[in-house]
Amino acid sequence: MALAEKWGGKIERIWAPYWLLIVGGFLVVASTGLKWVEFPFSRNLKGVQLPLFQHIGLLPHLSIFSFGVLAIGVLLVGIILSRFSVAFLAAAAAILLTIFALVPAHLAFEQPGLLSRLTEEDQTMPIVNAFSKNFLPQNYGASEIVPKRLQLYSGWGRFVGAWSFLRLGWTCFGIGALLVGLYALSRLRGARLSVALVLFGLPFAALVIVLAPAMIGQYYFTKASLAKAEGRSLDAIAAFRSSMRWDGWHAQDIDLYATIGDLQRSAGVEPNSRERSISQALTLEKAAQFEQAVFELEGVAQKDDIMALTARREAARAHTSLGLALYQAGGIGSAVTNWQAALAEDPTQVYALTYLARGYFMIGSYEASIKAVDQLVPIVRDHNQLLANAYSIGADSYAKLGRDAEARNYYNLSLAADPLENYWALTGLVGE
Amino acid sequence: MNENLTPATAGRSYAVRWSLGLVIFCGLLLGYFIQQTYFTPKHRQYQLDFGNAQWIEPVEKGPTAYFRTKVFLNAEPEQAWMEVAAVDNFKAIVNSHTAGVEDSVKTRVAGIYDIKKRLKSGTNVIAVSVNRTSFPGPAQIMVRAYIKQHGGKVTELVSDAQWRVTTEQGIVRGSEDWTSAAVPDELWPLAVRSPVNDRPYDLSWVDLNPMVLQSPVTGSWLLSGDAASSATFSKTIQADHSRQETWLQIASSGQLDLLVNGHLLTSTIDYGSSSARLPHLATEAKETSPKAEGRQRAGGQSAGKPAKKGGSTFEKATLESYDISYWIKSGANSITATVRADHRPASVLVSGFLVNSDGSLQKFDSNSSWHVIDSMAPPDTAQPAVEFGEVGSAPWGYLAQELGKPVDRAGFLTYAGNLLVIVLTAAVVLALWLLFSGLMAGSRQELLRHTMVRDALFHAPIAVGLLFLLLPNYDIRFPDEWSFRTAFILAAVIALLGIRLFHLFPVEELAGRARARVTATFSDVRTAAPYILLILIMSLGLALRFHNIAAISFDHDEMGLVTKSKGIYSLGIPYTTYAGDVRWITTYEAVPYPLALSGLFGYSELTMRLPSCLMGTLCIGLMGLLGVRLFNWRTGLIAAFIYACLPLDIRWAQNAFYPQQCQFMSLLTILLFYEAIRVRPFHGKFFIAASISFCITYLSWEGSAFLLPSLFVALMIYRWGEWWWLKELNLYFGLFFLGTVVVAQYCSRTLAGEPYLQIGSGLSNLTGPSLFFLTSAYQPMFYINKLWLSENHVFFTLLAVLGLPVCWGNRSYRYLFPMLVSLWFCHTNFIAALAPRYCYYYQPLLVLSGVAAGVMIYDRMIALAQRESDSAIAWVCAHAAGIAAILLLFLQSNEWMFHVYKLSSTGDTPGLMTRMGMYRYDYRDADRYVKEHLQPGDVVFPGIPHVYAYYAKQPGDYFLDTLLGSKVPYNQLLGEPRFVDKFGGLPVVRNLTELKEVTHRARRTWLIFAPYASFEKLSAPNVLEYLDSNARIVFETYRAKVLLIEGDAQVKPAKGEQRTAAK
Repeated sequence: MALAEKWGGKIERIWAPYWLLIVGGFLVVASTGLKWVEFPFSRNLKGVQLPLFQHIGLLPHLSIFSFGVLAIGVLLVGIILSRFSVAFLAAAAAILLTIFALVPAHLAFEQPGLLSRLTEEDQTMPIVNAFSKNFLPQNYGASEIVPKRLQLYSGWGRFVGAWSFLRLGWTCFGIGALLVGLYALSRLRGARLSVALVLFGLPFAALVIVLAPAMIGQYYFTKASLAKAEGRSLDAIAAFRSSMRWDGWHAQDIDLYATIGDLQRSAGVEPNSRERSISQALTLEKAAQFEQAVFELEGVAQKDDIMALTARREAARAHTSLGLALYQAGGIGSAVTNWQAALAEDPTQVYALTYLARGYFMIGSYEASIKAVDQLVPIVRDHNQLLANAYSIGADSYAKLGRDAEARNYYNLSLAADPLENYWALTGLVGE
Repeated sequence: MNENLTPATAGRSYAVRWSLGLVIFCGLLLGYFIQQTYFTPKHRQYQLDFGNAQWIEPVEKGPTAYFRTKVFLNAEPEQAWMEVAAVDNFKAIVNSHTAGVEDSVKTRVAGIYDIKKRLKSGTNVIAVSVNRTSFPGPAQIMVRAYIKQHGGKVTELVSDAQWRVTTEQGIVRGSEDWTSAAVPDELWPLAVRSPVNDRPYDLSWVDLNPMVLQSPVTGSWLLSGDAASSATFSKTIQADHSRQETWLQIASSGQLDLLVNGHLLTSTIDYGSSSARLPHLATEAKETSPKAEGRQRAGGQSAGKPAKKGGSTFEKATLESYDISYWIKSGANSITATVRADHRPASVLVSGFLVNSDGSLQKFDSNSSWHVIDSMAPPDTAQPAVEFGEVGSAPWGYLAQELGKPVDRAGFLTYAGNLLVIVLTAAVVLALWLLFSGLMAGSRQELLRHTMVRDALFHAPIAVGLLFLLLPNYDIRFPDEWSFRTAFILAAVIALLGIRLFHLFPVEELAGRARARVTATFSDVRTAAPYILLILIMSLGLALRFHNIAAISFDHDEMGLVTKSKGIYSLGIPYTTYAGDVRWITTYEAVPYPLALSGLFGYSELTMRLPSCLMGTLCIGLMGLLGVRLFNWRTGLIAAFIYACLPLDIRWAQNAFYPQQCQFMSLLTILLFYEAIRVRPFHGKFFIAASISFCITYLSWEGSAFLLPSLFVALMIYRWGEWWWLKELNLYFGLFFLGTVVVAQYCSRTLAGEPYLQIGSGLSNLTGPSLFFLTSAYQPMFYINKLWLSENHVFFTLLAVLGLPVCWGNRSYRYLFPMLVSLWFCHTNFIAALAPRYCYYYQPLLVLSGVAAGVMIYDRMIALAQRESDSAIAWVCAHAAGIAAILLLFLQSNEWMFHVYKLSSTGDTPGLMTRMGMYRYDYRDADRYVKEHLQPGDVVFPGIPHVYAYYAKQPGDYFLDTLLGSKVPYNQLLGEPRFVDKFGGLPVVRNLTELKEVTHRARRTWLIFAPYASFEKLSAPNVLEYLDSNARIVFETYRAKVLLIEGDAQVKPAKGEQRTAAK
C-alpha cells in the first residue's frame, strides 16, 4: 500500500503539471510514425517519409529532411531550451503548428507532382477495380475512404484536394502541437496574448507566403479564362503562360497546354507549336485513337523541359489506355506491350502493373505474371484489397505452373490481407 | 484566475465576458444570414403543378408497384416534358430508357424531366416504378406529361384510373421487360385513385424552374458572317431589378464559354480530367436488378443520361439551362458566348426568360439582333450574327434540355470575403451593443456593466430565433434556402434595434414580484412534481414504443437470438443444435434470457420485442435519474422527455436484437459507477453493483467493453488531481471480476468454434479490439457522421461542444462528456468493424450532454439577468431564450413538427433505424407467400433459413451462398458430407452447377431474395444471370423479392391462378 502511495504521489507530481506537454509531445512524436498522406493505390506516406524538398520515389523511405524528423527535432530543442525559458517551448510549438498548417499547402503548391500523382491514382482506382471485376469474382473487402470529387482548377480547390488526402498522423500531429502550445501558454507569466498571437500568427503568415504565388497564378488563370471567353485568344494565351510561371500545377497541366493549342489555332498563330500537337493528341485520345495520340505526344516529349515531361506522362497514360482498350477487345498480347511501354515511359504509372500481371497470366507467361505481382506487392502493401487481389493473381499463376505450395501460400497471403468476402482466395484454397 | 482579482471582481469580469460571447454569437449568426442571402448565389427551388393529375396506387396496396401507360404519337415531339411524384422514390422510364430517378425516404419526391428524345413516333410506353421503404401505405404516384408533336398536335397525359399497375414484375411472362411496348396492357390490373387526393400533402422541391421545359424553346441558330470556326456572340438584355430571376438555355456546335456580365459560368478547360479520356470499362458495382443487368448485357443500353460523347459531332448538342439570376443587375446586362468548333462553323442557340414581379415571363432568344464580336477589331465594329436555322432545324433537330450547373469558382478570396461579411456584421452588432449600453448607462445613471449585461441578454432570444429559422432549410418540405431572405434579416435587425426600447421600462419591481411568484409556485410542487412528471414521460415513452411494436417482420438478427433463446427452457443456456451437437451462444449471451422469459407467453413479434420495449422505457427513467443525479431535475426531465420521443430510441426499443438491452445496462453501469465514485472513499456497494451491471452489459454485446476504459477516463477527469482512489481495493476487485468475465467469454467463444470447419466471411472474424487506425479500412469520420452529426443529433452535438467553455467547470459534466468522447474514440480507433448500431449504447450520453449544456447556459443567462441587471425584461429575455433553446432541441430531435432529414452531415441518407415508419426487411410476407403457394415437389431456397422456418412453420431445402458471403460450417455427419447453413443446417448450394442440379430436379424452385440488396451483392454473377433468364419475380415487398423457377415437370397453374396469387 505504501508503495502504491509512493508511486501514486510520483505519478501525480509528474502528470498533474505536465500532462498537456506529455500528451502533446507523445502525439507529435507518435504521429510521425503514422500515416500522413494516403495514396489511393501506392504506399502511404508517414510523417518521417514526407520530404521537405525532394520528390518521393515510387516507394517511400525514411528521410532526414522530412516533416516528421523536423518536427521531432523542433520539439526536442523546444523542450531542452524550455529549461531556460518557456518562451522557447512556445516558439517550438509555433513552428510545429506552422509545419502542420504548411503540409496541405506544401502538397498543393510546392509539390504539384505529388498532388498530381495522388489525384491521378484517385481517378484511376475505379478503372483498376472495374478491370479486376472483368476477370475475378468480386472481392468486396473493406472499403477505403478516398476523395470523391476534386476541383483542381482553383487554388482553393487544390488546397482542399491536398487536405483530403491527409490522414490520422497529420491530425494527431496538429493536436499534439496545439497541446504543446497550450502548455507553453499556461506556463508563461504575462505577455500571454502576444505569445498566443505568435503561436497562431506564425502559421497563418507562413501559409500566406506559400499561398501567394498560387494566388497570383490563380489571378492570371482567371484573367486568361475571361479573355478566352471574350474571344481574346492572344491575351488568354499570355495570361495562361503567366499563370504557369507562378503556379507549378498549371505548368504540369496537359489540359492547359491543349487549351493554349486550341487558342493558337483559333487565333491563327504558331501553326507548328508543341501546344497544338498536344491539343491534337488529346482530341485523338478522346476519339479513342490512342496510337496517333501517342505519336503526337512523343513528338512533344523530345525536348527536355516541363512540357516534355508532361507530354511524356500523358503518352504513358495513353499507352495504358490503349492497353485497356486492346484487352477489352481481346488483343491481350498487344495490351501487354502497351502496358510495358507505359511503365517504361513513366514509372509512376504503377497501376499498369496490375494490368500487366493479369495480362501475362492471360497469355500464359506465368513466371512474368509472378514477377509483376512481386513488383506490385510492395507498392500496394498498404491497401488490403489491392494486395489481396495481387496475391491472388500470383497464386493463380503458381497454380498454373503446378507449384501448389507457393500457390497455397499466396492464397493464404491474399486471405490474410483481406479476409472479408475474399471469394477468390477462399475458393482457391478450398480448391474449387 | 488572476490572484489579484477578488471573487466579486472575477464575477464581474465573467459577466462581461459572457455578455460579449452572447453578442458575438448573435452577430455571427446574423452575419451568416446576411452572407447567405446577399453574397452567395441563390439555389432556387420550385414546386411542381400537377394540374388534374391524381395520385394512383395498386389495388393490392403493395409497397412496390410498377405503373405504366401507353401513348401513341404520329410524329416525333418538338416539346415533351413529364412531371412525376411518388412516395419515397421512383424511377421514371420512357420507352425503356430512364428519364429520371428520385429518392428520399418518407417524402413525396417529385421531379420534372425533358422526355422529347426518349419518345418516338408510334406507340410509346411511359412507366414508373416505386419501391417504398416507409410504411404503412401503398406505393403511389402522380404523373403529368405534355407532348407537342411536330406539326403542333398536343397530347396531355395525367395519372388516373386508366393507368395499369402491378405489384410484381413476374406478371410479364417471357423475356420481355415490363416497360416494353410489346407487353399487352390487358394483362395488367387497372390502378385506383388514392385517398390521398382528398387530403393535403407536401411535395419535395425541384431545382429546375418548370417553365424552362414548359415554355417552348424559341430562337435561331446563329453564325458569324464568315462562318468562322471560332466566334464570339453577344447580346444585351434589360432587367427591371438586380438579381431578377433569369434562366438561360444555350446550345453550341463546339466548345463553349459563357459570360454573364463578365462572370464566367462554364469550365475554362474543356478536356476534362485524364480519366475522362480513358476507355469506358464496366463501372463500379451498381444496385441494378438482375433483369436490368440482363438488359444491359443484351442490348447494351445504358440507363441515365444519354451518352454525350461519341458518335457524330452534330448529335452532341444539348440545351443546357442555367439560373443566371445572381449575376443580373438592374438595366442592361451583357451575355457573351464564345464558341470554338474544330472543323465546322461556330454556332450557338440561346433561349431564355426573365421572370417579372407578377410572375409573367419576359423572353429573349438568339436572333439577328445578336452581334458577333471580333476581339481584334474596335468594339463598335461588331457585326450582326447570321441566323441559319430555327429551333429543331437540321442537323441537330429538337434538342434535349438539361440542367447545367455553373462552375463553382470559389477561391481563397471568395471564402475570405464571406468570412469578412460575417465578421463585419458581428463587429457592427458589437459596436451597437457598446453604443447603446453606453448611452443607456449614461441616461439611466447606472453601472455600465449592468446595462451591458442587460443589453446582451436582449440578443439571446434573437439568436435563438435565428437558429429556429435555420431549421426549415433542413426540412424536405421547404426549399433549401428558405430562411435566407431579406424579410427575416430586416426583422432581426429591427428586433435588435427595437428591443433596446425595453431599457426604458422601469420594471424592477415587477421583476421582483414575478420572480417571487414563480419561485413560490414551483416550490409548492417541487417535491412531488418531478417524480410525477418522470412517470408521465415514461408512460408516454412506453406508449410510443408499444405502438406498432409488432408491425414489421422479425429481421435475421432478431430471429437468431429468438431461436437461441428457446434453448434456455431445456438446458438453461441459449443454444442451437448443429450436427447433433449443442452449439451454445458465443455472443450476446445475456440477451436471450429476457426473451425466454417473455417467451413464456408465447413466441411472437409482440412478446419477443416486449423486453426491449420495457428496457427502452426504463432507459427513459434512467435518463431522468442520470440527469438529476449529475445535474438537476430540469436536466433529467428534459433529457428523459427528448429521449422518450427520439425516433432512433423508439425504433430500437421495438427490436428484439441486443442494442436496447446493451444501452439499458450501460446506462445503469454509468449511473452506478457515478454513485460509487462521487464520494470519498468510493461507495463499495455501488461499486459492486456497477461491476455486475458492467458484466451484463458486456455479455449483452462484447463491443461495450470500451465502457471500461471510458469509465476510467471519466474517473480520472472527475477526480482530476486526486490520486487517492488508486489505493481503493474495490477498484482492483472490480477489475479482477470484470477481467474474469471477459476471459471466460473469450474462452467460451473459442471452445464453441473449435470443433467446426467453416468457410466464408462473417463478423465473427472479429475477435477483439485491434489497432484499427493503422489499417486501410480505417474511417475516422464514420461515427462522426452516424452519431455526432446524424440528423436528430446535430443540435445536441452543437450544444455539447459549444457549451464546453461554460460547462467544463461543472464536475458532473466532466464525468459525462469525456466518457462520451472516450467511447467514440475507442470505437473509431480500436474496433475493426463499423456499424451505426455500435454507437447506440452510448448515444443517450450525447442527448444528456446536449441537454445539460443547454440547461447550464440557460441557468447562466438567468443568473446574469438577476445578479447584474436585475431587470424584468432581461429576466424575461433570458427565460424566453432558454425555453426557446430547449424547445428547439426538442423539435429538431423528432418528427412531430420538423422533418430535418437534411440536417445530417451526409445529407438525406437515413440509417435503418433513424426515422419512424421505415421497414427493415419483410421476411414475414415473403415467407408466408411462398408457404401459401408451395406444392408437393417444390424446392425452397430461403434467404435466411431460420426466419423462413419460423414464419413458414417448416424448414427450407437449400441455402444459396455462391460467393461465400456467409460463414458455412462443414457437416461431416451427413450421408453426403457437405457445407450447411449454420442456423437451419440446410445444404449449401455454392455454384451454378449445384443450383442447376437442384432446379432441374425440382418441379418448381422458390428463391426468397431477402435482404434483396445484399443477396444480389453476395451472389455470383453467373448465378444472377441464370436467375435473370429463368426465374420470374412473383412477389415483392419491403427489401424482399420471391423468385420462381418453373421446371418442365411442374403442375401448370390454372388460368388466372397466377393473378389471384399475386393479389
